Amino acid sequence: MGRKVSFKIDGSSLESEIVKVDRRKLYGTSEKIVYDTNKEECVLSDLYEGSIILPRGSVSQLQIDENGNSVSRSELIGFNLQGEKVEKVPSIFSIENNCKKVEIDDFISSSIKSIYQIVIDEDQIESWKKYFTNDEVYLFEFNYREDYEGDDAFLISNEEGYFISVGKSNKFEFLELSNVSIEDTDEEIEDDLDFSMF
Amino acid sequence: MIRYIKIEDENKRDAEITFKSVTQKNTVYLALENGKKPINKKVIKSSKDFTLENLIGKTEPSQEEYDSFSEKLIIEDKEIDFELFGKFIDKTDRIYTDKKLNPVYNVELTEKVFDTDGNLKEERVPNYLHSNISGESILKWTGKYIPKNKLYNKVVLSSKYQIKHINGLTFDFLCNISKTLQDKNSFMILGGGKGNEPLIFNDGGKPYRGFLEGKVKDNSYCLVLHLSNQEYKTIL
Repeated sequence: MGRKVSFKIDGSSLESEIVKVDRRKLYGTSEKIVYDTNKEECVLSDLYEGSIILPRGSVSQLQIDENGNSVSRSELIGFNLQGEKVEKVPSIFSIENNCKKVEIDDFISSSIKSIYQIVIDEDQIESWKKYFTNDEVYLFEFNYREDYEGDDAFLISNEEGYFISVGKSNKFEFLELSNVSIEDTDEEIEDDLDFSMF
Repeated sequence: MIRYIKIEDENKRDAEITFKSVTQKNTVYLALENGKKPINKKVIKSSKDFTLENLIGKTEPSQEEYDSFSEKLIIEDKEIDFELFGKFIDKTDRIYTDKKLNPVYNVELTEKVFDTDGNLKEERVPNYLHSNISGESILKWTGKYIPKNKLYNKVVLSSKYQIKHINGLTFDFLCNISKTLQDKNSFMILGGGKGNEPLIFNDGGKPYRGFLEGKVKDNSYCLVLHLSNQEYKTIL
């Protein structure tokens, strides 16, 4: 049995296990394979200075300070954009997660990056149902592991079950006539998701 | 480079407008105690001639061969390339290599398709998708409205692009679309190709369903294209 997450909704405490909903588990996946002329599978390697072959796993990322000394991640601390130190946000597993009711529009405007299914014990189902009778959406701060910045997580439900939708809330700009968009940008279109549902 | 798309309204009139990805930047950054950010570097750990397989002298050593090599490795440190180990590097190129890590010049590409349990279903010629939102393509007004409270818990609205006008005429055009959608309190499905196809943003890219949401306030509008490639479904 997995660890349980505690939620506080409208003053009541609820708890459940959560399971990440991986797209591959819903739609399967595909993978491109490259063969050489002998039908042997090829691997991607790095080529350095046009002649040195660096096999997969032979290049590493490293952080150093201004004197060139290696810095481990545990030495780093969080700062906000004003340059002030910030406290760590606890893991969702170690606290009771206070859930605030929000509008559907708040949820819709968020960019969602991961989904968790809420797995509720039989004897708790009725308790959950009464908080999701009329398209309710609840917001709480989400950190799977303790870290300096949490994500925005939304509790929602549908006919299939209950979900946590994790992402970041966005603020959209209302555009007036004078906000003509002619700026140049090198922005790449996000395209890192597989798509086999269609 | 600014990217333009052509979009249709409910009267099947189209206009060329631009769009921008909307993402919220992190509000916290990691730094050292003194507030200075560390510098990210790429460093070489090994190279072609110093892989375990090359040092053992076989492309696929057995477990016994790995075990007997361990002692030698500890004593001689033979896996370290003293010329390159620890060297900071910037940019590298990516190439395909064979099992012996030699460059491969002619390749054949296939695509393996796996089912939801991870079992191989088929191996096929990769399906290369061409962008259907750029050039002469027009994003079609499908007229399929979906109320917001019917859609929000059905599909995962992962990415957002804000649609923007480029002149006075397109300002009016996008304002009208936004008002139509606000009045209906609905999304509208935007179609690619003939109108019923998912949207493909780049050549070789992946398809997404596009849902257009509009709002107006005083003399301003907010028109957002939401993209989705997943539904809210349980796995247990």
